[in-house]
Amino acid sequence: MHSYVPSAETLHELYRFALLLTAAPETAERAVMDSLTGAAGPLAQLRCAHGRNRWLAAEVRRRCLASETAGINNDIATSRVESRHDIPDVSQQFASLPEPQRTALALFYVNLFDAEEIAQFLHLNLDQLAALLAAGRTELQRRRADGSAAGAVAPTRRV
Amino acid sequence: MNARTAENLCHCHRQNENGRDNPRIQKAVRFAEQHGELRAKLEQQRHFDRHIAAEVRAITPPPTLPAVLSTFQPQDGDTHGSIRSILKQPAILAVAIGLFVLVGLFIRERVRLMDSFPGHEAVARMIVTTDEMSGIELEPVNTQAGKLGDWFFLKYGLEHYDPPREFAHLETAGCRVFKQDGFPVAQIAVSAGRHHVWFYMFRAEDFGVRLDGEDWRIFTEEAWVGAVREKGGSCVMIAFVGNRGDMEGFLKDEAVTKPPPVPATDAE
Repeated sequence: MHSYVPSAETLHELYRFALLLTAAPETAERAVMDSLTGAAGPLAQLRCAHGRNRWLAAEVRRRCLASETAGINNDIATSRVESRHDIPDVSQQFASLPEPQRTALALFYVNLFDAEEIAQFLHLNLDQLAALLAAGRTELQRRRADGSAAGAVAPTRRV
Repeated sequence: MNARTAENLCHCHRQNENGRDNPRIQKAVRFAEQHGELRAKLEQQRHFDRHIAAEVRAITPPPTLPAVLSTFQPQDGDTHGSIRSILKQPAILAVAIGLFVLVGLFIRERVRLMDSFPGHEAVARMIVTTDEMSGIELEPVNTQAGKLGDWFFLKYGLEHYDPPREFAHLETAGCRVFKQDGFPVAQIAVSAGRHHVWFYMFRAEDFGVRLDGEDWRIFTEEAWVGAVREKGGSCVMIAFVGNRGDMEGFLKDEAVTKPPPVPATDAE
């Protein structure tokens, strides 16, 4: 039996997901790498690709939200906005959204899960997910319209 | 589906799903595309999603990230643990048990077919009848088995109902004639060594018995073992409680099949 190794494409999507949650490239990279460390055992217990991706995405999300709670992102975001302009605007706009809209929209735009799987990930039904995506899009449109670079400097949500 | 539900579910629609969309979402999209106001909103959403998706795809992961894959190693003993965990899955266990039962049934059926011959079922019923006997059914007759052929003829009019010659010397304890399916069966009880043996004599055509050659055909019926032989239209069956090996031994046992020498008399 072959042990599971994530593909490079899965890794890239996980990073994009993490960056949309944090707007902090180093935090996102660390969240993905830490999630993979020690993941071989749990991943080997899961038999389908969807289950494995779901486990990895849940780990990445947990670490991203934990770093946000610890205030790490705040420091990074504040210091980086002025000094580094390589943080994509879209990730700053996402990172300022409240949870769980942020996770719902981030998963919607990265190519890991379909709508039903996103709903399961967030323990919602399809109608509830649809309402969440509607609210998230409206908020995202508003921030983009406002020129939301300032949104990345504003304090991120503490979960 | 109404307009409100369709409008809500359309928020879950991704244009590049290539038919992977949930059926409810597909239905909502079809509804919206035929509804003027909803169609416009759907187009706006698609336009917005295309821009966002393009910006997200443009995010380039750091070059150090793929290197982590080279350090992704399975745990020691991972393969053994995986096999063990697979075998413990209820579905796998159920399939394994089912296969085991099927193989067992197949083997049992093959053994049954090996025992089978035309008339086997009727012959087996004779053994079942014996198993159900209380013992009072027999007439006490103490003689040598070889002399009972005349007894059956004189009392019941049964011709050629003789025990096999190799067993003619065995001492009988009792005998009877019973009817099965309306046809007569002569039955003799003898003691031979450690076995309490039953002999059955009947006509082959009465019970549809057809055997290849004149060798004994051994079969089992629950706790019993039987051996049937046909010669000239007459069948003889030997049966006792035991197994196939016991019967093979019985048929080869010279102490059973070979009559003891007749002692010489003074007159001769």
